[in-house]
Amino acid sequence: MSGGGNVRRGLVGYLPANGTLQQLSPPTKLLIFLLLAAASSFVYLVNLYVLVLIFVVAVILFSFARLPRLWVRLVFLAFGFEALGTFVTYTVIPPSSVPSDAEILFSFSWFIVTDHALITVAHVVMLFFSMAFLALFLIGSTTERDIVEGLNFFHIPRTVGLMFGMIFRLAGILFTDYDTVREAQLSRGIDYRQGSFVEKLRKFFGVMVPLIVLAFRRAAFSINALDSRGYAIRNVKKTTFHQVRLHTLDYLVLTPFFAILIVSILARYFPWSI
Amino acid sequence: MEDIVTFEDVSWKYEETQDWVISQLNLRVKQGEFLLVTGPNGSGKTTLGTMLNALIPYNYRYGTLKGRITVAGKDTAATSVAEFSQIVGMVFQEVEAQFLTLSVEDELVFGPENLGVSREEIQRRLDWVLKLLKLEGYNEKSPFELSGGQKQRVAIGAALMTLPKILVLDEPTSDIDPLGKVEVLATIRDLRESLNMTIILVEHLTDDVALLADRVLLLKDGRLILEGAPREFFGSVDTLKKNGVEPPQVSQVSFALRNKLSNAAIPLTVDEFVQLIAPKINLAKTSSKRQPTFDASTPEQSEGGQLIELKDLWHTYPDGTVALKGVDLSIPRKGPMVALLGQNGSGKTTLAKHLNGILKPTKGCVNVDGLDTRSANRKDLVQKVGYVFQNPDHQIANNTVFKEVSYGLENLGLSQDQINERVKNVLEFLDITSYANEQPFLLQKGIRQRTVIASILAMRPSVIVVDEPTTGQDAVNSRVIMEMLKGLHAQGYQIVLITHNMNIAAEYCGRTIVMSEGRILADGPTRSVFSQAEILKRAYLQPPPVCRASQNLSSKLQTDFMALSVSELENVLENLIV
Repeated sequence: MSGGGNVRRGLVGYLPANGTLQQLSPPTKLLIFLLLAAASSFVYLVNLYVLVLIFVVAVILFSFARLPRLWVRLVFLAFGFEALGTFVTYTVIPPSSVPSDAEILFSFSWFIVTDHALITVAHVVMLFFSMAFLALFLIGSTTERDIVEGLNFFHIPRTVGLMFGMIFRLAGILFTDYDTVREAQLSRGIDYRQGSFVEKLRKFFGVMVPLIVLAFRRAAFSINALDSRGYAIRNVKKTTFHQVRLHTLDYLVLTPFFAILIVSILARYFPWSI
Repeated sequence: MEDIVTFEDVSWKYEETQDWVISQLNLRVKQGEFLLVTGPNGSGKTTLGTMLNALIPYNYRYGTLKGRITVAGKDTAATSVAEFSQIVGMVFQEVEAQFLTLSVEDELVFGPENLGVSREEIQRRLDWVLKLLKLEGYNEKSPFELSGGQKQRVAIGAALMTLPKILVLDEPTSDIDPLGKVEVLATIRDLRESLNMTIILVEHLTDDVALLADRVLLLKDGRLILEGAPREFFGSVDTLKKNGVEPPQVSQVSFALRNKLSNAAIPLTVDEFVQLIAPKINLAKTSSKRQPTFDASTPEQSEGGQLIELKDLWHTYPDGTVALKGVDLSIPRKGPMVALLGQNGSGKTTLAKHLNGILKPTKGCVNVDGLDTRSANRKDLVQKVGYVFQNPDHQIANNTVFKEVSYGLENLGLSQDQINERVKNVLEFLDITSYANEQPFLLQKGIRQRTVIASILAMRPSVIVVDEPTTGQDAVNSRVIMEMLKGLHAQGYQIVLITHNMNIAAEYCGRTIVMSEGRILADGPTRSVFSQAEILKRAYLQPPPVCRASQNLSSKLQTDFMALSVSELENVLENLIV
């Protein structure tokens, strides 16, 4: 085979070896995620404008991660349902529960759409989508080593970092297995594009069975491999081979995210200052 | 030299097994010794390996251990696996399953990091291992994306990074191309010579490892059946074959001709064989039979037109890897069994997955019995070309063998009566009717393999593509699978076999296609392709020992013959040796 030299394997796919995000130190990516997550928690149900800003930034970051299209579809599918569920939850209410200061925009029996409900739903949807996009940005732009090193930078025990790394590694391997199992099912005459929703679900379970068996077998092997390489050794201070430092680019990139956090805090505690 | 490993009357059984997997084993291994452990599937070889670093009993707590094992003076029942990580380096049979990280460098430094080795020392060891194992420049590559030989070298490197006294390797070359195998074995030999490391190699394919070892053990049903220096050990051809181990091909030929060879010492390598045989050949007999038995034509002529045609086929994967580069190929409706050979990553599997539309061409086209795979209905395609995956666990999705075999037929929309009839026939044909109601995941790999072949066969395709069916199988099981495929071929099925096992390809396939870097390097009768040593070398392949031996003999004797199997070479030499 040839080619493929300008990419490297990330947690859920291939990353450009010299892409913008790959120039950043692992803790920077982790910090971006944490800063925006913290910022959104400050403005949730407080300031929709800042929450929308965070959502827009999350979408931009997500697009930088260049995840496979399938992932984008899955996010919209999963969170589209979630948004719909939230809308129904906040709008199907007994009339007696409508707040007195709420303006009723539309009503049919217990289905009552108020301005309050719409704003609340907007908050929930913005928050969930922002978090989803941020999490996918983190997963889609990092390697397993980034996760371990990033956590290590913040003095989180190496064991915890490794555990996260291994979970992501296993997830990555499962994606590879998924492709192979799916191909094996294709060779048995399965057509994933045809059939009703129930039939598609049944076909999907056909893939899940071998995947689960493979996952268990791999987990058993991994335990032996971990033990054989001293993972469980006691009374030894483990070494971290790769030392992580933040560079000028990292500080420059982090500045606007700190700014967003500060704006969010101000919006929460000093609303008049925004 | 002192003993570094001792087994004193050791027996072991797993919680779920009734019989002892290792039974009353007594064994001593000296520091710096190279021990080869061989035996059929299920003989206890792998179990023996995992006892050396205390994985047994520590990770299998409900098993039963009797006797005492000491390794480097430590009792394995009283020392943790982690502590043994500094003494015993393990390379497991399933190479990918032991990778714990997503880059070569991380994989290599993982062990010393755990053991608290300083960063400077880790860097020194890393540089040493990368150079020693020819992995320089691969630091950031994912180990999962390397070639088979490179993966094995990463696994060996990861074990070496803790500077163990003993290196245990469980079938380290089972899934790699022939010359990759030679490279890995040379690396192991060098390690032993340069570091005086004790090597314990578990292997059931003996051709390339026979001379590397100081001593060889034969295990069967957990018992030590035979033990000795390689020449003495492999001289017991009958005993080995009786116990499911195939001795080196040249040893088998010499053993068969032992009466004519005055019971000379059994050779273990091609060179030794040629030196032994050449002086015994009667040139007069040779010249009267210039081409003793064979000709170079295709054993069975193609007929019935072309079933599959690939025209200028290109395939590029999402990461940009160009796996196929303009392949043109035809497979006739009837013709010899086809071997698809090539180095790991040469594009064999990618090509094969185009034959029933699992993969679509990036450029070019594939026509299967008049259907263009880019637009054809999947159900039509899978009834023309069946694909048996290498690992049966990727394919099995049902809770009984019967359901597994009927699964594809249900997808094709057959009636229940038709399904029952087809499943019954195919189970009988493959002799697995007795397993019909068994849970396939719990069956032996050989039976699981037959189950997935049955599930494809039931769909009655004209062509069956079988990907590495003999990997990890001992000589007996490999032969059972190949005889089954031969039987299918005799019934009119066209078989395309993807394999690294050159002995199997030579013996069973009349046509060989050699691939390298996404292109076809050679395509023709196996006897003719296997005589082109240079082309094979470019594809990281090496003809089987009997081919090399007959080539050497024919060049020395200025005659022209090439045997493809042990029996062919025996027949030729039977007539030529005085």
